[in-house]
Amino acid sequence: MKRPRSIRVRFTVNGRSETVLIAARTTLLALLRSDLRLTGTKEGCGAGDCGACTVLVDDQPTLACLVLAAEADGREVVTIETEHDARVARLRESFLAEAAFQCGYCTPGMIMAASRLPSDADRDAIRSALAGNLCRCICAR
Amino acid sequence: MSDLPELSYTRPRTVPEAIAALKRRGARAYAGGTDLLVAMAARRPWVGAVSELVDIKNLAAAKGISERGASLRIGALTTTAELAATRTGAALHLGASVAEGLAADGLPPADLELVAVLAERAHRRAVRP
Repeated sequence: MKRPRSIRVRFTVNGRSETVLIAARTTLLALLRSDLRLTGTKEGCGAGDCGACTVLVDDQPTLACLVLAAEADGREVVTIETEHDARVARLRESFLAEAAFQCGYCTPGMIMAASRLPSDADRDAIRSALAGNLCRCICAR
Repeated sequence: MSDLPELSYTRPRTVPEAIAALKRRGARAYAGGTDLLVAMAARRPWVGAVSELVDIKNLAAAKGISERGASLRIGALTTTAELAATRTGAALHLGASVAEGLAADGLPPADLELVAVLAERAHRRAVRP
């Protein structure tokens, strides 16, 4: 039997409903950046090592380069561009206020990964939450 | 990452459906994707010709951890983070990380047996009185 190579995906991204017809091999990262032009989410290594492509899928920090777009079907995706997510918005402001980046390439991923930390997270919890986000200029410790 | 090859995608809801799908030529089970997608994009020879990804992430039957005395049953889809959150999880996590590291170095991720052996040893150490 011939299996379909194009897939219809219905999901919400930053609160907006989207329906797209895409090749089954499309990653969530490619869907966001190339099809929806949401280029705030970055591709660093493309292999799940650097965390630059972190987005929220059903509130869970997720590496968009390592999931297929097809998996977003029926789910809620939040990216750095969100205008509705208060926790992401607050972190964006804090990163700006503290100038917490140099080139900024890893910043969207860091903000998304940190956005689901509890508000009383201590230094260790923050370090642990950001352990998968690499920075090559100033933020790496 | 370079593009993935052309493929089709199916998401079985039950174990029998998954087994039937995986019998098709070119079908590969897709769960975490951390090795499979990267290796497919890099055209690593060990992956072979994959033309269909069978997404087994949502098979409830293969999820979860149950503890009975000194033995643990770990569903194949249990994440290392879920594992690390259990009582003996830290040691098990270490065993799994070692195996994962070996897989990342180019060995096929089919080394489940190795993971099992490492996990069993780690577990035995963890529960030793």
